[in-house]
Amino acid sequence: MGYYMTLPPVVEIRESFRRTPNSGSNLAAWYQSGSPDPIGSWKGEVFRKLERLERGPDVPGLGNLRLSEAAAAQLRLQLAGVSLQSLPFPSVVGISGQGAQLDWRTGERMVEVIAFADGELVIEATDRGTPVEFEETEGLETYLEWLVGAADRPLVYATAR
Amino acid sequence: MPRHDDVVGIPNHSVLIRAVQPDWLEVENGSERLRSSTYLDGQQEASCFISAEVGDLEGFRANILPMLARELGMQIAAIATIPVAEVRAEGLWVYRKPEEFHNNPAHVVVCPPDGITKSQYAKRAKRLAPLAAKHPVLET
Repeated sequence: MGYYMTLPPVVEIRESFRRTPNSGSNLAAWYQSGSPDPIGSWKGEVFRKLERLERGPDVPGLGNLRLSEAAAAQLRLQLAGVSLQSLPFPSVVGISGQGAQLDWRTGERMVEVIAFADGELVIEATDRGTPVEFEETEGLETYLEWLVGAADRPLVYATAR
Repeated sequence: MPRHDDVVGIPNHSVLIRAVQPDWLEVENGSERLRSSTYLDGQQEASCFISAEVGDLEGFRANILPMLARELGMQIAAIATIPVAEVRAEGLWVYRKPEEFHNNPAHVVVCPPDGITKSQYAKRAKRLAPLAAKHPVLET
């Protein structure tokens, strides 16, 4: 009997994870904190993939596939600032040279983030393959709002080059 | 030595070979194709090999690919080839960097010219994948 009492509980339900009618604001704040998500949202999945990319191999002749600390930190910072919970799962791919490429697609629209090894991010949006321009100061959330149609803004199509 | 486009040492008719890791392939309409990530590089230097200097695809398969697969810890998924002329037409440079692959002079990098932004570089590098040919790892 004494032995069993020393075992941890099989399931630990923390107050902040409980889905109750009053927990909406807690959950929203928690999502925005950028913590890995046990419920399985797109953000939790992306964080898990970034973590895997941070352990990637360095392959001379192909490239270093280990996501750099600076790139991972910038991606987490941008993703943590996105409050949209209902988004498609993005594709997360490691690129050589310690970078990563993330893209979200809905229908003909696509938002893409490219993270460079030094932590610089390039964010691009396309509609039916045509680049759509945003103000340079706009963050990832504005692009993703446009992707899912949440942003009511006129579109400015950029030239191809 | 600063990077430059080695137009004398690497003529336009040369072909570049790049190993493709599994994540750089996607399936669209039932067929597998190279993702735009294939030639993107987080340090703006995508490693390739000059085909004629490694014994073309056969030589690459026999001598280089096993070394890359061993370092990667898994099988290489495909091989991509692209003519140097196409790389230059997209506004990118090809520069020898033997020191990054066992002092092998056939190792080159595809890099941007000086003075362009990372956004411009990304646009150019992403356009290479649709221009490249995809080959199987095993000779058919």
